[in-house]
Amino acid sequence: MTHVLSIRDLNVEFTDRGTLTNRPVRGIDLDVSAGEILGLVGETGCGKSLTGLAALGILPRGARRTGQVTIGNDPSQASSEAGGSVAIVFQNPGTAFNPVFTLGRQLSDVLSRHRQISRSEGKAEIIRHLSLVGLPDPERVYRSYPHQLSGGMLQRAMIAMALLRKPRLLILDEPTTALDVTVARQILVLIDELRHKFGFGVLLISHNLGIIRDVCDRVAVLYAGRVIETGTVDAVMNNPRHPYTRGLLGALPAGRTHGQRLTAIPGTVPGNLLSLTGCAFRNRCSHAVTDCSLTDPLLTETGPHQAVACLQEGEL
Amino acid sequence: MSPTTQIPAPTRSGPAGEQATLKPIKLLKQTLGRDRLAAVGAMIIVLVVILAVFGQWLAPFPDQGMGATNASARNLAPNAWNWLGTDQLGRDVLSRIIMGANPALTISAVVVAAAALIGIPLGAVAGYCGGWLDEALMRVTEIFQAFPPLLLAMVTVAILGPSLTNAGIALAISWWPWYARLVRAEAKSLRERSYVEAARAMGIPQLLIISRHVLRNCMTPILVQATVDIGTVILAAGSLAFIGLGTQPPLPDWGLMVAEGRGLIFSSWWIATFPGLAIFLAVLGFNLLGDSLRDLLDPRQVKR
Amino acid sequence: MTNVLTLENIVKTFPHQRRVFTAVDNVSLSIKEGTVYGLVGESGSGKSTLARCAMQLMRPTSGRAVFEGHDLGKLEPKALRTIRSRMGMVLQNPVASLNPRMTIGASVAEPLRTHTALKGQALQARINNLLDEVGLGAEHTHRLPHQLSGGQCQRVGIARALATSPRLLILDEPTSALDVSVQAQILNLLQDLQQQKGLTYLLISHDLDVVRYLSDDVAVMKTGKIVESGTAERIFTDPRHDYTRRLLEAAPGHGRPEMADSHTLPTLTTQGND
Repeated sequence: MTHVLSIRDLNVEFTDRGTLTNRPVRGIDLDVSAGEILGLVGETGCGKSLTGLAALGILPRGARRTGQVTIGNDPSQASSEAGGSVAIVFQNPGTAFNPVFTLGRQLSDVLSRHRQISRSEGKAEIIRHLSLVGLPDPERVYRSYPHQLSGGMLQRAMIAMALLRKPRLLILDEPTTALDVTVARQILVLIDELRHKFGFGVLLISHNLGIIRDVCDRVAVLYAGRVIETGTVDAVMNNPRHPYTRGLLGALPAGRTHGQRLTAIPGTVPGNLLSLTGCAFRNRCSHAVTDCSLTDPLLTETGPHQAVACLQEGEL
Repeated sequence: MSPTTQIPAPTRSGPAGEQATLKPIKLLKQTLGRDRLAAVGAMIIVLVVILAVFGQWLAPFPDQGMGATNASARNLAPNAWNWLGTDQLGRDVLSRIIMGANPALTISAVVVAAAALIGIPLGAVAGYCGGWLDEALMRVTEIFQAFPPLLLAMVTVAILGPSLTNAGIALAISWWPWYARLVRAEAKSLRERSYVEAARAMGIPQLLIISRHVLRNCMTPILVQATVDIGTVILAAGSLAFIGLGTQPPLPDWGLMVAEGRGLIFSSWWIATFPGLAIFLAVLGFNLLGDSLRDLLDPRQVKR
Repeated sequence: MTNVLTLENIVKTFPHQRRVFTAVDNVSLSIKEGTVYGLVGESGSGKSTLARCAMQLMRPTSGRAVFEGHDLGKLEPKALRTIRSRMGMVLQNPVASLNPRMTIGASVAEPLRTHTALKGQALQARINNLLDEVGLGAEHTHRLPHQLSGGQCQRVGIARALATSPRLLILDEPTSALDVSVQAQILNLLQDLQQQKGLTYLLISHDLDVVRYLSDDVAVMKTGKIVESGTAERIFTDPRHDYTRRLLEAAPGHGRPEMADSHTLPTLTTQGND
């Protein structure tokens, strides 16, 4: 299958006046195939959003990336020129649009940057896309200001805006976190359907394992800027091999009633990863041995659809 | 080896590893070290304060600074004896500038303090309580703001007579509404904060909530505004003196000196220019520092 | 078993663009001592407004809130403040619910200074004791909120709510701002505290899993009304109201979205997007 996104040895580094201050993403490899949804899951501060931004080449000030990011077939080095074939949808649809312009105006701006098209054709194209994402009465949406629409409708409009660029890869950064569960569900259904129809690949960034389980084909679990377990959703969710993945799944209250304790992971994600040696998770890990502080484990295949970075994997 | 072997913790700069508080002086040094403009501002302010406190010992001719005339040395250009020259009554301009720092700084500090003392409580109560009290207090401040400050000053001075003190009263009257409005806007937004709601849920008395949770958290904009305002009031008091409504001759005042030298600006430029420059530098200094205070007073800075 | 909190016909309306918006529409419920009452609903369902009416942080437009036999709406402000020491509240955003300029110790001390006569050593001992109960070391006393993680801040929030030994804790989305691993820590802590101290909780959450995990009784709210209530067991295994069923089906982690229920999509035109 063709990869629409392939990331090799991606690092993101923060520098302050020439000195390296932090490296929140440390050597990530990822592939997203056409028509596939890859979930990127992890706690706050594990580097999942930065990975998404680095793939697009839009890093915050003071950050730089190294490594190779290939979108479609053209390897792009730290450029946002890949704009045409990749689009991103952010968490909060309420602040992603400019409140003083109509949605139609804002979508036209995107369209006209992307291709030469007449005004009336452009409007027709936008309205077609607004109806594609399931917005009722797209003519009215076209004329509306952001505050006149609900969060769910705005998120659909964001997706329409992304589709206007005919992306080969869609990056969704916590697309449903700000939405109610029933609305979130509809958005996920929509994404699932659109990727089947248009065949673009999706990188879905979420902290919610339930969402990952529901819609993703494959998943990569991030911890401290590194992929610590990856594989098909079925394999990883049903047979997690890394202690961190097990901890995350054990922490979910889903289906449990009181009396049953949740297996909390003690401690917090390390803040600065520069001086880290060995496995980043070892301080919170109940299976850690001396070797864990010396050797940083590499991703190793443990099955046909699964790879894990843990020295103790065989012992678990 | 057993899996329970103690693993040495990796060094990390998480919250736990950090020193909880830094000495304010050290923090100030750090900020000034990072921010050159703030350092320039602070240096100017320190200079003005030194002149204000020790002026009578620093001035080469303290008696002339206070107004003693010297008819034999009128309108002298800057020279080795009178570095900045002398004015039309033969007084040393440098001495008068140095001696003028004290009244300038005193009046600004007093005016800003008075304005803040009136404005902050009114603004906090209006913003936190809202409703009709807010409406009433804000209408009163609008009435005060509607008068042009100079007009208000002229009326005050006309009633009380021209002097530095009366100019200060006039300025304070026209200045406090700005503080009331600033604090009200802050209090209105702070009122909606989670920690204020938590305090109400805990049954903390209203006055404590206002002082501890609301006022303490709007100190940053107040202090920034106050710092900038000290500079602005120096300018305003100078303006009043310039039009004859503030300090009266023969006392030293930068605004008054500009007024006195105005007629001789083409023949004896130094008489008006140097006091004008003093006003400019003082205002600039407070403005530069004011902007940087915002960063300095952020509690999150303590982490660095 | 006695009722700790009873809400009778609570109505709360707000003026909204020249009309009246009813946030809570005639809601009654009672919470038995030592149990956890879960209030679940989506944003705008009125569940947070209801909780604020229960604590009289907002005056209900009509209806009564009765806590330990006192009609809260009829109490003088001073008596109400005193009775609030018997109720605690834990808020959604743990960092924002602490005054950024007050140390952790000062935040926990605040209710103690207001409602008890503790001073000096005794006060400090009580603070350390409270921090210890929520799993924080005494070394945190002199830290500021931004120096702590979200989970630690929520522990401080819980310690502060527990300071005056309340009988009832109102938990407003206590874990929705936290990561799952931290959420699990906080949920375990809340459960332990409830069992050790025999506390009564009113738990407000949009997360069905969290509500199910902690609650004995559950009410489902939609547009200001309770559409269904009952034991947690019954609501989650045998939901009767259509809305409850929809909510349960939409919860993440309950299966892949069916293409069949994507009726929200109009039929796609044959002319594709490439």
